[in-house]
Amino acid sequence: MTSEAYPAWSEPFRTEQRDGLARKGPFRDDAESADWLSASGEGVTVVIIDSGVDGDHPAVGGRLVRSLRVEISEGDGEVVEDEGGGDVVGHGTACAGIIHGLAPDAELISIRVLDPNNKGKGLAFAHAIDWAVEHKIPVANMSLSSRSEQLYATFHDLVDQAYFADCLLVCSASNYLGDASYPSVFSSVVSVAAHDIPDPLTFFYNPRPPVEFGAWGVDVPVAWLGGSNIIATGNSFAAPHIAGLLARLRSAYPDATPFEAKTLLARAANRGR
Amino acid sequence: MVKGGSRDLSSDALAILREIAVRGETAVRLDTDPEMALLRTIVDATVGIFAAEAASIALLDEASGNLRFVVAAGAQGQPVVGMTIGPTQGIAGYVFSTGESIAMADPAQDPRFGRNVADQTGYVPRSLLAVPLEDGARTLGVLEVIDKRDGPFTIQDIETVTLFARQAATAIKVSARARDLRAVLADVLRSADDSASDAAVDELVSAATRRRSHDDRFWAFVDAIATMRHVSVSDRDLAIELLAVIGRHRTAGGRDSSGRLRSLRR
Repeated sequence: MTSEAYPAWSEPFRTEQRDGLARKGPFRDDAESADWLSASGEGVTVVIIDSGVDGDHPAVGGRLVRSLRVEISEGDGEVVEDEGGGDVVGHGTACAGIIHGLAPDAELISIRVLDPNNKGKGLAFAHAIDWAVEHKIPVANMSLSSRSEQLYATFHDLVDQAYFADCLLVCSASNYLGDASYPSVFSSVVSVAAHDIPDPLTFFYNPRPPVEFGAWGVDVPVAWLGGSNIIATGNSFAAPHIAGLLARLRSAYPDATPFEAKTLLARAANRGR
Repeated sequence: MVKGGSRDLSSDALAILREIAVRGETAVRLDTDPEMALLRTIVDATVGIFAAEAASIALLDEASGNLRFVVAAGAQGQPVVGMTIGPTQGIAGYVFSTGESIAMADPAQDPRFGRNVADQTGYVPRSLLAVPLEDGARTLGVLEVIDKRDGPFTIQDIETVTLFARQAATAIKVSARARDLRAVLADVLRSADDSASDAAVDELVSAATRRRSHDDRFWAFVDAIATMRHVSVSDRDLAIELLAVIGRHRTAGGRDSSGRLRSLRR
């Protein structure tokens, strides 16, 4: 199978391309199954860097333990408690619901990076990652990215720090075909695009960079504001599926490094072609 | 020649620069906004391809930091034009501030969704797709499509609209550059002398553009002609005839507006 058969960049994982993803050697499909897939996320904290999370939404299962936000002033930022918490859009609650569905025992922390006046958004993302690294968070979901060239070096440095601090940063690939967005294009994050198989446990590994994994992101029933549920499509709903699976993996193997975690994930992938 | 600033530039050269500045400004005022025309074409095409109820483009207003809907197409599109929303408000705001493309069904279930757009327009969409307009380095705005006729939006639809969004972003970028006369003049000066310092180029550009809008009556005249874009064909023909009559009357004595005898130039 030639590499042309693989999804390029953030392309959807289409039926005809999934066949090309069959792996050989120790990663072949009939090798023994991954035991960690049955873990519950117990003992794992997942940070959701997004629009905030509605902790009262039934889909979040009361697992939201803390709400933070990034405060930007005069070109610098600080992560502070988000008094009152909540979600300003609905998107963060959608991600939290997906993660909770896959890892019901994992604890969730929200870091809201959307501010009504939208000052220094890329910088807010960077401060949120920095907080996750500093607090040794095992899994962080970032269904967002920045195109700011000015922050390229900052993000590059931060995701390397995260990698060496055993913090798995799960990033949705930008839907902008072929354009770089940070930090999803860096090799030390876990980047995710969408497929359309309606199953949260079906996921793919794509050996052709930059996007490594494909998870359900088409017509996904997700939690939204005010206890509501909607049907949504986008790579930003694929990423939390992988974040939820990584919470299971980290629950079974707390000491797995990002390299090992990615390898185990790739090993368990591609079963639902 | 550029290096020493305007003092070293011959008065003829400065006059030419001023002429370029005036003609450029005139062209900008007379030409119906080419950027908007292209954006309108893009939303028209989007509505056509998806048989959608509406498509719209909201752009960042640098001054206020808000998103402003500048063009729309489709039966339900027009009411949003001119509306302004916060840069993180609703789906469009989320897409703008995170760079993430989203498609959703039944967005009205979101209790805050209708507050600004649907309430004002009286239209509640069943499905919605929004992608960011990005020029490679920053996000310029959002392209939104509402209610595709044949069922919900797919991830392939996101790809298609993303291509349109790229066209729109390119149009905005190119147009912004072409419109900035100061940048055009600076480019001309630098191409004439690539060793010119930025300060020297700035000084010359300022000298050339300083009195660009000095003659208010001239600009009133240009603006009046520009309004002819919006009148009917017959009214425009009438205006052309009137101008022609005034022109003939003015030159009836054999002199043009500069007072020179026309016969000498023939």
